[in-house]
Amino acid sequence: MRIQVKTFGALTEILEREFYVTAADTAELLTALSRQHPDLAHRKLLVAVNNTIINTPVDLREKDVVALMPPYSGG
Amino acid sequence: MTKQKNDIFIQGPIPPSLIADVIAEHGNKSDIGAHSVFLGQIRADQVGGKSVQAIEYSINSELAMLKMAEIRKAIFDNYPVTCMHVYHSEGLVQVGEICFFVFTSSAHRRAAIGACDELVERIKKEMPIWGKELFEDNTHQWKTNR
Repeated sequence: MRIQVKTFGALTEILEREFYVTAADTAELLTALSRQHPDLAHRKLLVAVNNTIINTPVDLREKDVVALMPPYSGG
Repeated sequence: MTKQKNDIFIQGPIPPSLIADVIAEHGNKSDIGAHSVFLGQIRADQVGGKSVQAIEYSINSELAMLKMAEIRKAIFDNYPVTCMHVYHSEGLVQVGEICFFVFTSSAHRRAAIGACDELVERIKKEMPIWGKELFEDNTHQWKTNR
């Protein structure tokens, strides 16, 4: 599935802020990105699919938007 | 300019005049007996001999709007508050400036204080906001919340 990825915070120093990629599910997406960007491995990440935070891998559909976010640090 | 209720973000620092204005706006609400206010200010943290000069905040605005609606509803469900106002900076805020403002009002103090405290904690923990701490030598590090 061709999906859009958006990155935030410190991740924008490793990945583009927005890009399109093909992946069947979020696990495959994260594995592929970690392989291309070893700096990503072992990083704590929050993942949202279409603005819903997910805690376990989910299947991706065409045009889904996946947000990859480091731990929050507002305030 | 009308701002959606769940859009809490202000470009740059929160002006002290906004805090005064919010207090003044409640002067005609005769059922209110207490306000609680929290103000977050940029601190000059020392890291390895360098000191933080400013924090640049970035946000995931779509997710932040949804999350703020959820937090707002939970607070109204759990505390008898008459109103709440929340502002957080986006972009650059210098040391000593205000980056976070929470204001709650109720008939009696305990609800306002409890709601304000919970709002501060939940926003810091659950809102998709990131702070980049900038040092005087143009280096930076990403803020982590305790």
